[in-house]
Amino acid sequence: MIIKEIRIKNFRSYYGDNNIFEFSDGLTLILGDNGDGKTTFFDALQWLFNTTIDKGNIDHMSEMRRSKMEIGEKEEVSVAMLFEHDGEKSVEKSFSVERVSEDFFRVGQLVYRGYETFGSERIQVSGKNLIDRCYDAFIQRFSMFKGESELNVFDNATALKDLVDKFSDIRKFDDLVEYTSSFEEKANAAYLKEMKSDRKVAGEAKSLELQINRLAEEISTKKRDIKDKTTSLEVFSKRLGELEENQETSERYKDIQSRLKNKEEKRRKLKAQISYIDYNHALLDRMWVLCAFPDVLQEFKQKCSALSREKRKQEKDYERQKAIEIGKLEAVKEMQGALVNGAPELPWYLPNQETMEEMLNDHICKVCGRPAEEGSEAYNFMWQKLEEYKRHIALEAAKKSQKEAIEEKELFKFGNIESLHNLSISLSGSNESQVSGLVREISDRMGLVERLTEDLKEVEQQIQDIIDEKSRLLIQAGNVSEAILEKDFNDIKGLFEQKGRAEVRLTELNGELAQLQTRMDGLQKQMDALNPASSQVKVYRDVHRVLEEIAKAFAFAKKENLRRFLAEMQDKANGYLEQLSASDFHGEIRLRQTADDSTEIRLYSSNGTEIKKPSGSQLTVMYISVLFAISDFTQEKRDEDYPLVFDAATSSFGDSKEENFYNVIDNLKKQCIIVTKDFITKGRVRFPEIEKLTCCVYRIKKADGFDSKNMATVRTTIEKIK
Amino acid sequence: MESLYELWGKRNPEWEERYQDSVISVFSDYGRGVNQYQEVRGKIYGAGYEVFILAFFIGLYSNKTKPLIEDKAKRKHFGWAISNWGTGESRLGRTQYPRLREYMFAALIARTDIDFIALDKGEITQRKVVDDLITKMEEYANYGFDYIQEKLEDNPNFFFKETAFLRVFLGFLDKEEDTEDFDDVPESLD
Repeated sequence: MIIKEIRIKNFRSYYGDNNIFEFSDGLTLILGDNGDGKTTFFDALQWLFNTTIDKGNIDHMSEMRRSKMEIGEKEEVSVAMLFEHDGEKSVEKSFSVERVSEDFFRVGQLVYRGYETFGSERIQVSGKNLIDRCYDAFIQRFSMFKGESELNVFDNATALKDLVDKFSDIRKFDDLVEYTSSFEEKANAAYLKEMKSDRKVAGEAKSLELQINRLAEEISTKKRDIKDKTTSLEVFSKRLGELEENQETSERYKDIQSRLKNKEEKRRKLKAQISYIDYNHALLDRMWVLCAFPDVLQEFKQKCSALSREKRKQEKDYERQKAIEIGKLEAVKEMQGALVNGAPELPWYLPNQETMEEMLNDHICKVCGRPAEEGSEAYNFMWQKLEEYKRHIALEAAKKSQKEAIEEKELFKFGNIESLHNLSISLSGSNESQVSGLVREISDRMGLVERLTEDLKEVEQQIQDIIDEKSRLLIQAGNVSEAILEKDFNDIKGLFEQKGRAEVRLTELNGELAQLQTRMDGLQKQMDALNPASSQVKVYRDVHRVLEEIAKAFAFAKKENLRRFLAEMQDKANGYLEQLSASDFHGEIRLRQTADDSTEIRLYSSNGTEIKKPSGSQLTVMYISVLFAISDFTQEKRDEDYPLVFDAATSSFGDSKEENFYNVIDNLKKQCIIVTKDFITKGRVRFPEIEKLTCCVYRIKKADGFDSKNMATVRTTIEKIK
Repeated sequence: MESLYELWGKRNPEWEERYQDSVISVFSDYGRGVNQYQEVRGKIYGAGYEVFILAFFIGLYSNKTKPLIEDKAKRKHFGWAISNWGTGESRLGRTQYPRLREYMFAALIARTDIDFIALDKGEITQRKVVDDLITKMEEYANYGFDYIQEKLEDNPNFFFKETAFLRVFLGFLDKEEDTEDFDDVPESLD
């Protein structure tokens, strides 16, 4: 299929009916800056080729056209293509839009019209069928690409299988391999059956067959294990490859994270230390408010001790006074009388009251034995003596009570001064030194906090530096999120271990398989060596042997065919790669078959090292080469060419690479439509470079005079500049 | 017989109501109820008496008293006897400080003109003495409240720097010792 012409009507930014692109069978470039309608062109093509939708969509209509429609007016949106495919054909997809009210548009059904030319006659056919017949979805998948990221068509696991099925003859081998192996199995079964009935070798054959069957089972299990292991090994390797790209970043990230954690911990500790004492609370809780208290405390202590001294002094004076009074009392001496002859009297208490009262009563002095009548001198003497005695007793009693009264008298009734003095004593000593030490405690603490605050400032600066470093790292790492870096680091170790284990296991399994195969060969040989008696059995045996060889041959042929197909495609792709890369380093493409029957595209250096991280442009060139190779195959196998359409596929190319690249493609004689913003600098086309190309070039851009905020003022204009 | 200290501890010193809004509740949760969650956290102190204590020490160290307003209706007390001061704060990181009361008492004894000899002789009553102590205490604090309020009027943020109160008290030290270790006035927050 060769596209001759594309006509776009009222599709998005393509306003009106005058949007026509004509194409040669080589390269056509459509140049446009951002927002000029490049992707819309590509989308219009995709919309045309999509045969799965039936409804029009108002969003596809030109905003400008829509805004200009009168109520009741009808308009059409369409994309039409004129192309060459076994003669000239055309296809048009369209839908109608009618403005019913200010805000409402009625959208009509999609109409898919196709025309074919037979001789000179033009016949209308189903557009859908025409597209499906000439440019089916499968081909589209390998021929239309939007952006660089879509180029890796083999990212889809079934893509290669589809491709192989379409373009190689391997499919045919599938049936053959199946037939021949079933023949072989049947022949074998028949042969073994005959063998067992053979008189001579029946017993031996039976036991051999049993062993062979068992072994065959083991072998097939082993093979399955090996396949599983190989698949998982591939998964591990692939994942590891991806991870290794981030590994360095990941390790640096890890390092930064651990330093950050460390510093943050330090900051936390410093902050805790600094806020350990709240100055406001410490005034009360730690009694710092007493820092200026020592002088007051001195006053208190002095006052207390003065009071105590004064009180004790007064108390002492008072006691002395009391003692004097008591002394005075006691100092009153008794004057002793004298008797007639000058001899001293007996003390007043001799004889005692009882004796005297008895003698007065009996009227006789019981000392001298003389009578003492009442009124006599002796009687009177005794009576006076008794009276004196009584007076003495009374006097004694009075004196005693007087003394007691003096002794009982107290100057101070209460002990307040003592308890104040006690308080003063308790506030002295260690408590006093604590209070006078507060000033030092406070200034020590403030000094410490000052130092800690300095440290904290420093740590916070370091943290900021580390965070900056992390941001720089993340910017350099590009689109990798922190979570992935974190995870990668953990994964990579685990994956290495798993991969290692899988490799060891695979080697073991292969060894075991080899052993089993040897045993199997031995058994087969023994079986073959049996010499059956019956010639019938011999015939069976020979038939089986022949069929077995045939089955092997077909299986091998199938494998070989696929290998050759891939090798051929690889060669072609490498051919393109060399051409497209020109003088630049390009390496070598290898198409590698994986265990699950899909294919990977890899770039290798000629010394056999895989280029793990090809640049964006290297990748693009690599994929485009493969796509060209596939396109060649289509041409060979189907005898039909088809166009390759790329939208902004070369955005990673530098200026010099661009020019060379387009020149090469221009000379390939393959229809290629490339929509790109290459060759445009600051909105202007670089004409000198365009001049060097031989291809046809269109320039699309927004028509002048649009309102930068109103989409209804935007329309794409098309100009053929070469 | 109860000691003067015990009797003093049973009292509720008074303060002028006008300082409630202008000083006390600026720095404490007083008047808000202790359990009103979040908003209390921003305050420097918990109970109102904590501000009273600071005001008292300001008056004490300044050695200046200020008689309270005569009108009893314009006075308030915390309804929380002195003997409970310094034992009720339960906020995280705070410790109790019951012994601070002894120093306050000691200061009052030192600075109040009382004839203790006459007291012990029974010529004057304990009640009269404790009345004098409390009056002195109230007058010191009253001076302190006035001092704080004046500072706040000059600069509403004056005390909201963490070291502000501490520097006020260290300032009393400077005056006496005449050293230049600490700034007299906290730097402005602006």
